[in-house]
Amino acid sequence: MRKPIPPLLGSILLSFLCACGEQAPSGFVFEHYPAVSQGLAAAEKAVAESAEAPPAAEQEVDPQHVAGLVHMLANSRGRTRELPLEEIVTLGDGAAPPLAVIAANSEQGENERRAACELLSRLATPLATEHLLQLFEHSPESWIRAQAAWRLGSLGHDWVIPRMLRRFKYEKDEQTVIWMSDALAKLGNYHGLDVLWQLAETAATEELRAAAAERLNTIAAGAECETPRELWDLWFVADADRRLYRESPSPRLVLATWREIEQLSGEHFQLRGVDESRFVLSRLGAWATEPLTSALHDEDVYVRVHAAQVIERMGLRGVEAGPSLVEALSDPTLATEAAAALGSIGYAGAEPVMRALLEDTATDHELRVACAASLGRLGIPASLEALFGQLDSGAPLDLEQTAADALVRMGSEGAATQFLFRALSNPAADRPGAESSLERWLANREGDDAEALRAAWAALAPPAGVIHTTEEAARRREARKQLLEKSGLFGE
Amino acid sequence: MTAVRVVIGILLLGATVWILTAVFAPPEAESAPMQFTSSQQCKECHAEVFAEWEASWHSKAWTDPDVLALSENFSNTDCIDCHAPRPVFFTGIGNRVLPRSSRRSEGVDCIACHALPGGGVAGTIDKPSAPCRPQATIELQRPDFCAGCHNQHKTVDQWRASRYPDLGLGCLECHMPFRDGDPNRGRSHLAMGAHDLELVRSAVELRGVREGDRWTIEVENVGAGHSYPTDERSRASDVFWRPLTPAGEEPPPWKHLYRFRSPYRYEVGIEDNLLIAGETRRIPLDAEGGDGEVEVALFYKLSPYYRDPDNPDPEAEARLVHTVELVP
Repeated sequence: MRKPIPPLLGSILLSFLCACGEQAPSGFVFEHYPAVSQGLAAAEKAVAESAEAPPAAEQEVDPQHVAGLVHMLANSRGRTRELPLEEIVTLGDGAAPPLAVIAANSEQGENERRAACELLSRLATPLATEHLLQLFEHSPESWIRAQAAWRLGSLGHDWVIPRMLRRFKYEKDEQTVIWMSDALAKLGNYHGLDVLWQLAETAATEELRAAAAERLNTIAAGAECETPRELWDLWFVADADRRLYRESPSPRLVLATWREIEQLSGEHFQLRGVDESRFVLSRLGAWATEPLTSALHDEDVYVRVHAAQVIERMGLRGVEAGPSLVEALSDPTLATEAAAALGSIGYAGAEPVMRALLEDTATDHELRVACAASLGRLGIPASLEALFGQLDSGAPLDLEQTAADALVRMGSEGAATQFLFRALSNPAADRPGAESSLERWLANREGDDAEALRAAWAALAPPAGVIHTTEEAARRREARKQLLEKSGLFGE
Repeated sequence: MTAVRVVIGILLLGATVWILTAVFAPPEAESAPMQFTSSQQCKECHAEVFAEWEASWHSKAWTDPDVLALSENFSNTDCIDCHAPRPVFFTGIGNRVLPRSSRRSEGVDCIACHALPGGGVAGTIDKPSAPCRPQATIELQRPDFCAGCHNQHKTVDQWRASRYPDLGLGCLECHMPFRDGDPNRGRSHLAMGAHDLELVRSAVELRGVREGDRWTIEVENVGAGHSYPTDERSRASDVFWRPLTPAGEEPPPWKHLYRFRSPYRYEVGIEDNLLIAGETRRIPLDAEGGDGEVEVALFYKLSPYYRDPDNPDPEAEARLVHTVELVP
């Protein structure tokens, strides 16, 4: 049996050991609570209290009568077109199912199907909107999807945005993508700008390229921006004056957003659904930062982690989540994703704490790596010393390489690029990653010799649309390494 | 006298140090667990396993060109969860995995499958004295262990619906067999799968049956404990045919007859027609010229798309699984 230690000696020794050991916990606890169920309940209450009238009981409507209105609209001009449009409203929700049947029927004439979509949008009830959404989501014919998208955009119901974005992810038809982007923009979501920009350059035909360019300009003008570039910056980079938020999201959109967040939970096994929710949530716009920040506290670790990932994917638009993410650095289940997100959203206030975490060798390894990467993205000179300190420090190789990449992002050369040069042929290193880092360094290098080096480097890349096999990629890296060696800038 | 006091003092000091050391030194078994930061850490002690893993497609989950193509160089961030996962034991057996943010280039690595929460690794024996502290963990051998990733594309569900569970045959029996068939040699970590053409060949048979004056092609899933191909949407397998030509003559181009595939979401015009375990699919060859002497081939595609879908070139873009020459 161990003898008790004299109290004085014991307390002296304990003090000594505590002083040498880990720091005492700060006492801050990143709280977990049922954020999703609370968010859903509040959103459902807000919808119930909103001014929107509850849907009227569906009245039975004679499908033949509806077909007659469709026929009239499809074959009329001028004032006579107004008659079926006015009458359909009097029929209410009961007219929506037969209209949807006509719109979906590929044996009907195109004019009739178009007219059915128009009548659905004139009905404008939640049920009619739901039918348009179904056409938009599931029609095998791209022109019907485009037609439904256009009609949905003109309806002005922002709560359709999450479902439109979900379908947008998979849309391949370029014409339809143009109309989807247009519809989203009408609803205040400018996710389609990126794709329109690309289509204006690369669409399959001159007509489509022109249509994409024309939509870009129209959308920018609609958002009171002088150029598409100005709008792009407001949407994807920063909108300090909240010019794009003329109205708050409707209660139904907030509810739809919480339902997307609910999909992130561990109860959902299939990643496909989770993927789609991450895709949607990261493209809703800066306002979505608020519910996502709450979701960081949810009791389900999957919700917490994926909410942080979504904020990371929002990029600079998610900057308002910065303070919450800094707090999340103290949550071991979330810290790595929080650090990654802090770099992506460009929250400069996180630099001192991430620098401290990086320098503390007692910090979890993955968190140190995430901090190094994010410090590189923040690009604040105060981080340089801490990042240089990781190079050839005996730290795990991926931390050293991440630090080297971060330094290159910050415009540093010398030790960082030499490290990456060696990593190109180090089997234990992330060789493709080193190649990407060096490519980034080369892209930003100035001078005539850099231009020649860039051209030679690019000449070794695979042709457009081709991805090198593992063996080809290894040969390419070796050739690029020799290229750098010959340049005289590098050496073993 | 002073010397005696000094000696006693030294003895007392020594005794004090000894007692304090005994009191405060942590027991051996409680020393800090090894922190796993890279699969390279495993190489020194587990050279054979490491070499197998390094040669496997698990190690290339992040760098596989087909994955890079399908994920557009991971700009489709959705693929990251399974191609660079956190340790399976951290998220729990049967649960879906979460993505990690470091050492992604190591793909599905030693740590992803073996690291245990709180330190130590899952293995086949308990050995607390080893630096990595292996613990015998039977869950490593269960299909549920693989399900976190591989059931994302329904492969484990396909296995569950087959006769293989009743036969006691799980994932490891085909994909991680014992080295040289000897349980004492441990399991191969090559994790053979769709990239291993011999394994694919053992999964299916290709035959031609004469019915009247026509051929019917039969493809039978004889060896896969799940559908052929599995990994919905990312893989495909095609039956092609062409008239048989005399030796020395240039054969005509292959003509497409049938495709086994599961469609991607919202892909239209594609039937979900994977060949389930044990099933035989009968495909009539009723094309013009298909009633005489023909050559039929089954090709496997690691990614489903041909560069020119209207004129697919299977010999350049797919891998030949079986071929049969059919003569009436």
